[in-house]
Amino acid sequence: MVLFDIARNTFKEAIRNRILYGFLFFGIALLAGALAFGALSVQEEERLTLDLGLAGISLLGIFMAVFVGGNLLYKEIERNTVYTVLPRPIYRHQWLIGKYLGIVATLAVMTILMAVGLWVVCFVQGGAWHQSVSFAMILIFLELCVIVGVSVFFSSFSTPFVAALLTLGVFAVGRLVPEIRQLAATSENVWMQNFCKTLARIAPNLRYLYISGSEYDGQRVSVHASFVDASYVGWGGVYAIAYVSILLFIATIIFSRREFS
Amino acid sequence: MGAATQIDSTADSHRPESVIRVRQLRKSFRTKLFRTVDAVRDVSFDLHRGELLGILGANGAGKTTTIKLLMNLIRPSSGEIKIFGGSPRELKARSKVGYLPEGPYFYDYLSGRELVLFMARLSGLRGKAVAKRADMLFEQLSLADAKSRSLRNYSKGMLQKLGLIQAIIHDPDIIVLDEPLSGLDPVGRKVMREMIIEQRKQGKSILLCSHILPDVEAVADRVIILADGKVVTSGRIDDLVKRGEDLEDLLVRHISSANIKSGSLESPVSQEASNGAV
Repeated sequence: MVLFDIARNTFKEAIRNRILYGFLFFGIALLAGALAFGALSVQEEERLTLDLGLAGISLLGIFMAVFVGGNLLYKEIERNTVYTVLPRPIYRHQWLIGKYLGIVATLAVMTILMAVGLWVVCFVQGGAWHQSVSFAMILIFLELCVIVGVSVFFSSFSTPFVAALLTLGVFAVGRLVPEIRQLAATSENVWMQNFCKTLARIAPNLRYLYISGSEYDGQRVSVHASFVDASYVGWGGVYAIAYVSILLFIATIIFSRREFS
Repeated sequence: MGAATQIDSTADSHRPESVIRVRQLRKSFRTKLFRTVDAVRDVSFDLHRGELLGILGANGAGKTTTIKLLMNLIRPSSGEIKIFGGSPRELKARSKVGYLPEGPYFYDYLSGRELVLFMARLSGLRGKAVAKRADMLFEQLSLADAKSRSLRNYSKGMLQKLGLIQAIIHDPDIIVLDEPLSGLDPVGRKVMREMIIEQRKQGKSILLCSHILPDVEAVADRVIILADGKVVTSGRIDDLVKRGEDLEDLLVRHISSANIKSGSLESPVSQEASNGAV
């Protein structure tokens, strides 16, 4: 129950933060831009608009996850609001996980709003909303859940700036996991091989979640043609939950040892 | 620890129940790679049921560090803290404590009432009864008109009063107040002081840390004076002050004495303090 009280409070904080509306406004502008770009292309309007729209929503979501995830924890610690919360009869892990859930809830609302925006754009363009676009949106949201987990993990022991840099680094590595594995396989330098292998093992494989344009079951996956099915999305959810659980477990150990002097 | 236990066993038959028991508490902070500084050294005291104990000392004496140790915000390097016989790490012990930190800062996107109800929920309280209690406390501290206002628009004094409300919303047995009267105008100070006295009348045990000595003098049953991280004296104010002295003179006398002898502090330590229990 306490967990949800903290999550609800975090959600309230994020929703009442004006910067979030800045992100939302930027998202709408991005979708309008996707519509305009789509209109410029001949016979590929729907394709271009959807590709640009999904990529824009994903990227904007990542920035929101990094910003909101890192900043909310920092603000609590820096402004000493934790001094009134942590002496209450709650465990520190409840506070940290509650914060995580609150940020995820905020991003869920933002993702839904953006999805509605993309649907409106598709509707204006006269295109159809395929099931594959819904699946793509769910996978984008799962990727955001992982990134928030990474952001909260780094925030549990560092400053927002460092946490943001490290999270963006993990995001970049996560999206490049197949390429990093390839590098490990082709490199002649043993150190480089080991480094790349370790990196690919530790970082979340975000290509599982941002699948559009990748190969799956020997086929190139695209929201316009052959896309993944519901069971893939389900396994993507299991992967995201497992990765986030491990991250939050380590973060709570670090956070429970942290001193607020 | 053996000595402390021995002291306690003899003391228990003569003294009221200790709701907070602190023994040989030490907290060191690492300042550089191989250098540490002791913020609190061998501090021992008891807070008895229903009493108001003042903690006094100059800046950097270790008052706030001691309170943060009690509140489990930092961990002791050595020594023991017991709240109703339990460790501050235990939720059961912490559920009986209300805490107002120094210069409190709250979630400024909430209204005063939202914040207090959130804090109550964290203490496991929800429903109409707690909302009614919150409204009553807002009324008592002259904040009723501002309870629905965003905390962004609260003055420092209003935040201080709100800090007291959130500290006592769950009706705790122990109230720990760190500089509760700073930043308040004379009227606000009077209202807060009356509320503190009211809580004491209700049988609450209060630990009050303040720089405003007349206020401590007016409400405290006993005081302990910290200097350089150590308890240099303790006891009832009347017993500690010499003829013609006031609390400020007492404090200055002990702090000066401690500064002179820092490192081998043996100056006017009361018998209780030198025994390890206050």
